[in-house]
Amino acid sequence: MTQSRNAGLGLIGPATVLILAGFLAPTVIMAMLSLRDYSGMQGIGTDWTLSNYINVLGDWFYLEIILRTLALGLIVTLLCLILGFPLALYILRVGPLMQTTAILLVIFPLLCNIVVRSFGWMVLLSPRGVINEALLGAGLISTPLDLMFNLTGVIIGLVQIYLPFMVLLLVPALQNIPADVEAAALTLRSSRIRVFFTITVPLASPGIITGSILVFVLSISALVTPRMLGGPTYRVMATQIYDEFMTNLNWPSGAALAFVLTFIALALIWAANRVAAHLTRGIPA
Amino acid sequence: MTSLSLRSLTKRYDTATIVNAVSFDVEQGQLVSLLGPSGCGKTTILRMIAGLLEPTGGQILFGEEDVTKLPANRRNVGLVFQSYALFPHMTVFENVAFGLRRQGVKGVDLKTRVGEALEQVRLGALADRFPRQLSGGQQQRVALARSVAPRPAILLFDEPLSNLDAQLREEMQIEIKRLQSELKLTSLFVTHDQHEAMSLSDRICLMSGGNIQQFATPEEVYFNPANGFVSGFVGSPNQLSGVATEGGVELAPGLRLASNRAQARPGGRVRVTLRQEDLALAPAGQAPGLAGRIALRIFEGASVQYIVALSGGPEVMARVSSRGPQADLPVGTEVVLSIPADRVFVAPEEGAA
Repeated sequence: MTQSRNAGLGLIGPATVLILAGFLAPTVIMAMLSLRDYSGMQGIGTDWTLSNYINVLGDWFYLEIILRTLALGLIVTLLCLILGFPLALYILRVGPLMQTTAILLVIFPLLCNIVVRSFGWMVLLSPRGVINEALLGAGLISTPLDLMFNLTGVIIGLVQIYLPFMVLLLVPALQNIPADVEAAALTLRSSRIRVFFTITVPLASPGIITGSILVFVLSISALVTPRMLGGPTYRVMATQIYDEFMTNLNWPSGAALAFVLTFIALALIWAANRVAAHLTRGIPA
Repeated sequence: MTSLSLRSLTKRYDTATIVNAVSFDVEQGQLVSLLGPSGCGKTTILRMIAGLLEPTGGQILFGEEDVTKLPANRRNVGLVFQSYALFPHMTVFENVAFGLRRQGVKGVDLKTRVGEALEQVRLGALADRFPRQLSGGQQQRVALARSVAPRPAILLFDEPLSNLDAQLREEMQIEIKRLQSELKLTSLFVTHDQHEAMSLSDRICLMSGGNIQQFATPEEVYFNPANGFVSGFVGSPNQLSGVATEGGVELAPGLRLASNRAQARPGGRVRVTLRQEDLALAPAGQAPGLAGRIALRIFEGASVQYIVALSGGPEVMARVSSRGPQADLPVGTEVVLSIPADRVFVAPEEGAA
């Protein structure tokens, strides 16, 4: 008994130490930092203050960034869901060979670095990029479309990068729905569309919610893609946090903004779990 | 309520024929069982009738109406699944109300109709539960209520009792029989269990390899099997091989049985089916018959099963009443086995036919 308990501690020990030293300690330091006063002349002071949070939440400059980030996360999540659902259904219903191929194709982009992929999108989306050149050449447009350094570019990039996560979470969720249940609804006078919305979607809701939370949280905290496809002047929370730390050297302000982002993510996960628990009351875990 | 007719219904996948031009009728209010081993095409037929599978050829008629091309949601059938297939995210009430709502039943009317359906399966008190809070038997009763509530033209059962344990199965069997005859629902019941088929059906459609082997009343199927497959499938048969003789069969050199049900030419290899319950057993010398020795005695409650090694031949199983005179023969007893000539089913060996 005692021995097995010691063995258990031994097994989780290394991971515990790593999390304490590598995650918890920096977080505590950051939390303290976000509560320090700051002035342009003296830098980080020694007094405790809430002014960093008040600045971030009371200034329209920051509020606009927060709202823009949340809107971006919402749009990316919805697009991933709309694009991912049919793909997940296809993967589930197709023959075994195509199934493996399709899953590999979904995973494949994940093997490629985000910076490289974002550069790829720049090549495609820039004013003299592949897409605009092709459309101009075909005579479909007379001036290049603004596909980059704006919301459109960031959305395109983020959707492409996070779509695999959504698909990989939706496939097992859909797999768990017994075929007979959908057949039963069909024989009970429901059209295929109605079966989809009253049976398939509610029963897949655990996967839909998990996938959506993941994509949303990854989107609102993404740094590289918004920076590269949004351009230097397109600000979201992650790029602003980066700028506060690295350009403005206002660490307390950056830390406060980072914690606001963290709290938004945590609140969202909590709320989504509540919704999920209600929706899936009847579904065995 | 209406009758159900199949006309040369066929299902093929590539070159494999699963259902081969099957035709039969289920009269209004009757319950017909589709009985057969797994892979005989019975579930495929059921799914085609429900509209969940598209037939390769043939017709499905509900009364006079050809529904072959109609999608599942417009067919007005009720289907009870082996897996229950309840909607796990809905309460029992919502499950039963699901089909009724699609028919436009609302408000007080809906409550009454759902209540009635749940009363019919004696589950009125559990309307607010979720399916996972119910036992397997209760879940299947909800599924039954759900499928009869919209008053379907045809009620289909896909091995609904297979997931239940023995005692519940018998209870559900009675439940189904009672509900079906009360509501006079035209029903088709798919099963691989001959006892289920026998006790529930007005007619049994015995299938094998996508073909109908016999379509008849349970009594007819049991007492007058149409062919070797049927005699080997119903009852508790001994399957032996032998050689056909004039007016009988030879199981082994010197072991002859008279048969007036021989469907084979003398001299050919044949399959012999002897039902355990048809074999009469007596201590050696007390009666004529095949000589043998009791190798094993198995007490089963209402009956006793003996494994008898025939002298110079195969082992056969015989079943006698546990209150009868032959219930206490110990292992090693020399016995004679006899069987009436009309209970010895002889059919050409498969492949030789």
